[in-house]
Amino acid sequence: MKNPARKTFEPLLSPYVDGELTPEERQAVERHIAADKESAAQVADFRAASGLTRLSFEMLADEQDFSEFANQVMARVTPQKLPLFERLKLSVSEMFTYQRNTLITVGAMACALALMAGAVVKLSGQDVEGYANARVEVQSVSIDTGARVRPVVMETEKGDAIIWMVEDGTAKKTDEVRREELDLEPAHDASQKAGDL
Amino acid sequence: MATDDLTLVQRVRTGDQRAFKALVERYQRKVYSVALGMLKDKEEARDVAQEAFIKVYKYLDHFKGDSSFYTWIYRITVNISIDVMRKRGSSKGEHLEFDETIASDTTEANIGALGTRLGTNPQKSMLRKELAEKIQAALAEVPEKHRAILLLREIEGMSYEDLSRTLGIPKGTVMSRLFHARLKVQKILNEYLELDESKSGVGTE
Repeated sequence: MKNPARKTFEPLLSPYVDGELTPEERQAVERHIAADKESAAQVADFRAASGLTRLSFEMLADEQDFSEFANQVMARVTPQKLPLFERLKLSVSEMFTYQRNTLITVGAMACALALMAGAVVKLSGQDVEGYANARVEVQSVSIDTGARVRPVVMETEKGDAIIWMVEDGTAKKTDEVRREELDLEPAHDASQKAGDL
Repeated sequence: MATDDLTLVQRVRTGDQRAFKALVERYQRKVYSVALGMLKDKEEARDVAQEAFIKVYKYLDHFKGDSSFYTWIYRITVNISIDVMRKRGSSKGEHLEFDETIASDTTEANIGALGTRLGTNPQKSMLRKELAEKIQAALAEVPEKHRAILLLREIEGMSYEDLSRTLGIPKGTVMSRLFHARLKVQKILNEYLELDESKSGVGTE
């Protein structure tokens, strides 16, 4: 070694390249390499080898297919099946950890759908008033005074009502009396009309 | 934003498998590279990398979080690699230890040749696959302890403090081993470049 200081500074060249020296040490090394070409060349060599080593490993790692690596590791570390409750707890916890946004979106969509479904059910469940309704409940049946028929209400097994109109003999008599009193012609088809009803 | 290592470790402890998968995916490439650098065999390196992750999972409760997770996983990788090398070495009768008392001869290293031929920017040096393989070959000739330190420094960019913690050696030893390892690699690469240059001139800037 021509430069006697080189022996002192040589061990510091590698940490100098790695940026591991104190500011004072770094300044001292920089002064030394400015004066000693061989040390400067050594630093250049270290830097070149360092860069090449890093790049060569990146190239070699690129050649390796890591697509299944993690799955292979997971297959070897997966523990025996946990109890159902623990698995459920874990699944819920994982969902909240990894899919919080998705969960919020799905929850919001489910709420919206539930509201819409509720509204549809409510609307479809509402009865139409009057004769437009599919079912009309028979509250009472009445006839006009002097009608020649009388109603008979029957109920089916399903709860529907059937109203039969039955000829009423007493009513006929009353009508005839009334007609006679008014001096009108007797009615010919009174019983037929009642049947029509 | 990526979740930090310690948070993932905490989740793994609660039984979160996906957190562990995230850790594997984060470090698989570098753990493999370190193992490859140590063993110089792709299949063995892959096996060692998997083994390292399995050990990490198995002994996760022993990880106290005093040091960073990555120093812990690299320590495990290096130790498994050394075990494999020793098994391999003992079967072949190879001697893997390195006597640090032997002074390195820097005159053999042909100082400056590497920097002059390749420059400091490896991207500009038209690094070929052949050269990458030569670097692997050069590393294989570096004693195991020195190789581990060089790999962790170059691949992971570990600080001397982290290297000291990972390998359980004083910082001064880190400095010394790195220096020796670099001189060795430099010498081997110079030999390769001289040979290559005499054949075709490739490798010069």
